[in-house]
Amino acid sequence: MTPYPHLLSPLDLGFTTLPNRVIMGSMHVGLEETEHGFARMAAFYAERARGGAGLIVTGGIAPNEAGRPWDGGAKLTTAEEVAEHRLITDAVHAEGGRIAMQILHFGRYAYHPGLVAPSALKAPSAPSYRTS
Amino acid sequence: MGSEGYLINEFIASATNLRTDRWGGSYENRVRFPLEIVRRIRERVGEDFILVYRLSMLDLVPGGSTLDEVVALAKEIEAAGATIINTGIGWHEARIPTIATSVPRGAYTWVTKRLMGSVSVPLVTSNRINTPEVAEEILADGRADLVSLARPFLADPDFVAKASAGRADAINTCIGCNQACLDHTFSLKITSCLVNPRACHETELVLSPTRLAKRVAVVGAGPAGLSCAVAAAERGHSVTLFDGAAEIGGQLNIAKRVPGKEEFDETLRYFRVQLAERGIDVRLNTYVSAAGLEGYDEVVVATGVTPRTPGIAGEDHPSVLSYLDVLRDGAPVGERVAIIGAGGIGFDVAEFLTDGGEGASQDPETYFRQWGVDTSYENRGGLRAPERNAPPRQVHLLQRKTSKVGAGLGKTTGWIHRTELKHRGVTMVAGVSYERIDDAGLHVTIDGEPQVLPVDTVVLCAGQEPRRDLYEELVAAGRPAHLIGGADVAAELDAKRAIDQGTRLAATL
Repeated sequence: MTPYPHLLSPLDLGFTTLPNRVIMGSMHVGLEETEHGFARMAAFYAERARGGAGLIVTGGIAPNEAGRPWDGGAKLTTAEEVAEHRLITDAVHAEGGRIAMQILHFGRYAYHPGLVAPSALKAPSAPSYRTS
Repeated sequence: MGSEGYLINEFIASATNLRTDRWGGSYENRVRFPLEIVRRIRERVGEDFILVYRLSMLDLVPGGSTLDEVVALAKEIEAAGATIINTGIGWHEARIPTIATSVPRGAYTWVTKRLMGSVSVPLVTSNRINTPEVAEEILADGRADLVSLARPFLADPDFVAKASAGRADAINTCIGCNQACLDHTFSLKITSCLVNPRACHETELVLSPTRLAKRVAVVGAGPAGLSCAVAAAERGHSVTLFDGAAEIGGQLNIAKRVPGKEEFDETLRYFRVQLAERGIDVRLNTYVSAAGLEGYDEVVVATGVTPRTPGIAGEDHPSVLSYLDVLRDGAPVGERVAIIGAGGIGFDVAEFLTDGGEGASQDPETYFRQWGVDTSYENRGGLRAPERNAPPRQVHLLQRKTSKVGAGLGKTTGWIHRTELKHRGVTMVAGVSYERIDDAGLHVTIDGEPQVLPVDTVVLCAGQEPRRDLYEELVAAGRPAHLIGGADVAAELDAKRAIDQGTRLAATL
């Protein structure tokens, strides 16, 4: 009998079942914008899938140019970028894992001149960064 | 990502959405943006696809959402087609720590619980959940259907596998320090992990089995020596670990005494388990000399640091203590204190000496009262006025450097320490010249003005010197040795650098 019956109980989503109740939360890791970074992220995420994470969420990826955190920040708008992401999903699936990509539009927190927001209100200089 | 103050969240909050078209104004208009996004993604991906929406359940900023608005949004997000709803706590610009190590474990899970029963899709809770025990308790208590752990997966990729195997004691626990993850991200550096330097470096820092097992001596069981010993043993070397103290840990034993840094205890527990499991021969209470290290193929010197004395006139006055006297030995400290040196240790000592003993980092209720979080959630954004007891001491935190006090602290956590000390009435002064210490107190010159700080105690936090006596003995005897950790670079005590260096050296032995 496990000491963690709730943690380790599967979750039926109807069309798929998560093996446990643990989600690996989203973190930007800096490899998103690094040469060969996607191959390295594939190894990184595959190791976490092998270690039993029920569902992995990637670091934030921008849905368009304006949503990038900074110039050159990761986005997913082209076939080439899709191919890079497939390195990660394939590696995670090969370990029997599941991974979701976080779509993150930086809005007014972006550090580039092309940023957009609902209204033209400057963000206070953010004192910190938070994740889960 | 519909939380943390990013674009979607900016549409939802009235404070950041002043639009007068159908995307702004009324609540219905402000949530149109997230609802349309979810609805259209669902249309495109079909039914059999996991769509997670991260909902800002507690904004912690003025003009943030009310609980009623959060619940209403969750229901509409479900109706729009989300599979799972995840919890977001606090915008980036919030002035309340949400994930730092001083945040009590699982402290924010009450927020998710307020939504349980309002929707039928599974809810995920988050923030400072770092052990299987904490996670199990949260789920068993019905605070959420799932838990989200991010940084703990940097610290240990096998968190779930170890929990499943009943080996929670073997988990390398996230201490919530942010030093190698978020601090790196915000310096545009690749993420690593203070307790696991292999994180995001899996293909580059590889601990492959050795083809030639060696006898390895590691002298010093602080973070550098521990990480080197464990990694070398993992590779198949035969490792002996020496330390003059009665327990392992070195400076970690000092750090863990600072309120809000208790998580270092987990790191020590992890290393103790590793030392036992990997059959490392641990010799405590043992000072070893060069002669005692004959017969080893590799000698690693990780003998750490000694505190530096700054050379101020009167520094041998009875009112003067070193940080070790205070943090390690519990020396009595007066009610009026001057701390010389405002680096990481100076801040630690200041927090230690002004802590009211309320155990805020272990008790969510106290923590939220001190930082001004409205757990009744009657106020917009979950904010209330902070309430703090008067600090037990009056402290001056001084530095010679003219830069901002605390500028060298962690990029994502420095503001927390500065804010905490400000709340406790600590005076932080830069550009101080120290003249002398005598019965009247500490004589200083600030902005060209000589003055006396009438303090009962002066605590020296003026840096460290590398401790290399053994290393020099080895070199003199013509014995090659490796030098790591504080004994190598003592500039600022740095467990991240120490563990990284120890592990990387072990990878090459």
